[in-house]
Amino acid sequence: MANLREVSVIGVGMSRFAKQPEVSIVDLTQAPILDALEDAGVAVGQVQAAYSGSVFGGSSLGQKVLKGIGISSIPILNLENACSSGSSAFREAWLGVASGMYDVSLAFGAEKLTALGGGAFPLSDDIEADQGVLMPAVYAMRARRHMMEYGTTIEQLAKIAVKNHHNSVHNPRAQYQREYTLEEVFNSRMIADPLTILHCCPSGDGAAAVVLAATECSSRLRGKPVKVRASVLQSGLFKNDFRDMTKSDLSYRAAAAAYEMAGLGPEDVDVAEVHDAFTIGELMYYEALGFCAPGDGGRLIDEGATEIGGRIPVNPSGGLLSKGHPVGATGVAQIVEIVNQLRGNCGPRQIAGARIGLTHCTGGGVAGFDHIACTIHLFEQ
Amino acid sequence: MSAKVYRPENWSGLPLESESAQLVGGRCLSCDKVFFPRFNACPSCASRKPMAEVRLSSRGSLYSYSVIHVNSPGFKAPYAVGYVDLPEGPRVFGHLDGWQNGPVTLDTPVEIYAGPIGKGRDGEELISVRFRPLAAERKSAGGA
Repeated sequence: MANLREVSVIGVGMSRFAKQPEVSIVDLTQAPILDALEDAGVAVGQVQAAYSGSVFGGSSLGQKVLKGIGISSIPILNLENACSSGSSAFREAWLGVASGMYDVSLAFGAEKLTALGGGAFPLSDDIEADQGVLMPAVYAMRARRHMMEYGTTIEQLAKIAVKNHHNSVHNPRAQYQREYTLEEVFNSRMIADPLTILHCCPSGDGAAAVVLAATECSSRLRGKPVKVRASVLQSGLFKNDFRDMTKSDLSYRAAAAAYEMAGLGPEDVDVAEVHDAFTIGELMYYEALGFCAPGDGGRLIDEGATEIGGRIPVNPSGGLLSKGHPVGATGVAQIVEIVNQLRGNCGPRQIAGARIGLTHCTGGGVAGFDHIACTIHLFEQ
Repeated sequence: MSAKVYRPENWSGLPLESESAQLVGGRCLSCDKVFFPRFNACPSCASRKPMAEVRLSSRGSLYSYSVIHVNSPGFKAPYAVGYVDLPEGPRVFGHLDGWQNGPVTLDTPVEIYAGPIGKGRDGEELISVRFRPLAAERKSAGGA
């Protein structure tokens, strides 16, 4: 690999995730960027490049957001990569600094799903979407197959929703902030059999931002640095024929690349934010990330290993299921949570002594793909 | 009522009139791999030779499915969708019959036929791929 400089995250910010139709996407996004810059101790004039991730935010969102807060005339990239849009923007911001091109960069993600009228994530221009498939049904098909092949139960899946809603009670930025019981998960409205609505993330609005700097420069800046140990972006492998829907091959591949890049393994991870758009997703990604053996995701949940205080806590923020999933903002918000965890700033949901954190963000529904994109980042305090 | 066939180039025969209509895929003339639907270039070897048309089997194996309980544009809930693996290789997406009678066993053999799947976004009845479970076939044929 080329000689890359070490990069650190030095500032973070995020909006409340919620349905907030009265706020424009520009207003929603400016505040967390300013928060991140303030946290970093970076003046707007020091930002050398900016990367904006969004799926439905419209053209030129980056310039529209940044012009009102004193950032223009620098390189600005507007980026769409389905659910991985924000994390792909972060990855490009990292690359810009790691390559030596810039010393300080900004990445943010933003989405206003209430502008679309709610409901399932709209898929389009696709042979399966044309014929009525919905993202919850894709995950439901994975769930049904995982249950058949490994004996995974709907109770185990529901426990993931209960866990993540429990965690978000202590996250003031989360869309939900209340506990749900297993019975409430079972008895909520059926969406795509066997997944009820509490197995699915909500639709909402939100934005998140991070400031990155070369570690060698970060000592001159105020923000408490958290090192980026690995940054991986991969896309799905197109297949027209058999695919094992119980194994996310894309996430397995991205995880292997990330661990190799960092020289770390799954046993080193103290805390993870994982793409739980649906309960079965979190369970499958436990396996892909190496937190347990393939097929053992249900047992990991039963053991409580992924709860706060467990062996490998997953989604202390509440995850997509409870914190919310404003698509383009999600990947950046995961990084905000991990940076806050590694800085020890998370209050009642803090993972004690967390030193290594992981973020995993994947998505996109196109026929013939597991997902269109996956990003995995590893961080170290 | 007007009806139209979704992507009629994917069928041989007349799906509106004949239950014997068959799905048509493409075989790459360079690497011999079979695809459904046909592609302009081969996704496997990138050959640009036009694919040969190949009639696909009317039977396959149900890999997984889900019953959708929320309406989506053009599709009225509840309806079931699933994936079926064909002996020629391709995995085909379609709408599943028989789920109203109880859970359908995965890996069950299904018959593939053309039938109504819902209304398209323009409100016309859409004819496309449907799956009829064979092992679960009952006297009262609970299909479409």
